[in-house]
Amino acid sequence: MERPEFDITISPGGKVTVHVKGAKGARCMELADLIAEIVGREDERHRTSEYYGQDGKVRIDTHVSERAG
Amino acid sequence: MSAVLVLTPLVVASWPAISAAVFGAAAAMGYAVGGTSCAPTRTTNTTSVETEIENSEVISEELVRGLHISLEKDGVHIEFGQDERGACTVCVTGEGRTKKQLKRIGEEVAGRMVQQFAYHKLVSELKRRNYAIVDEQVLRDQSVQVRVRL
Repeated sequence: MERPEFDITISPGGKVTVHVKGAKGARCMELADLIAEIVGREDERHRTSEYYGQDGKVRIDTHVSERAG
Repeated sequence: MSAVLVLTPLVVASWPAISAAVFGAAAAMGYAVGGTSCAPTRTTNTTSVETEIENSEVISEELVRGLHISLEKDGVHIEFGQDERGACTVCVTGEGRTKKQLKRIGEEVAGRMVQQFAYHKLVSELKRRNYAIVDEQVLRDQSVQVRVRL
């Protein structure tokens, strides 16, 4: 399995932007919390599509209903 | 990507840690360090602007109020110190410059100090947890980019 990575960018004004990569769900949030705790105040947090991924598997549920006509 | 965070650093540290960040910012921006002193050196007939660095606090076990670090470049004198509440302050003094210009210089230097502080805190904390720094670079806009692998 891919090892998680942080891509950290610190602007000349001191703002810190962190991309947490290679982690999903609770593990991803745990890593994000770690960085937030080290740096200070959290201004924004966005979850991307990978966050919701389930190891590459996608489950599609279909419901078919029949109309009486 | 799985999550993106935007954070504002809290500059809460001892004076030596804050001094290290000031020295780092001075080196990156080409300022000469005039040394540390207990008494601020103010000149007459010049314009001065003093601002507080947001989200900052100098932690000291001993009473060391009054410490300053002086920086110089192109006739501009910058003094990092702390106010009575312990917040970090930047005082910019220069001849022939408007308050607006001095304020902008002060904000720029203060921003770079916060950048240096955040960089050192992040890198030291992540190394302490045995995370590997796999890439590091300074971008054209002077942002610092670090890639860390767990």
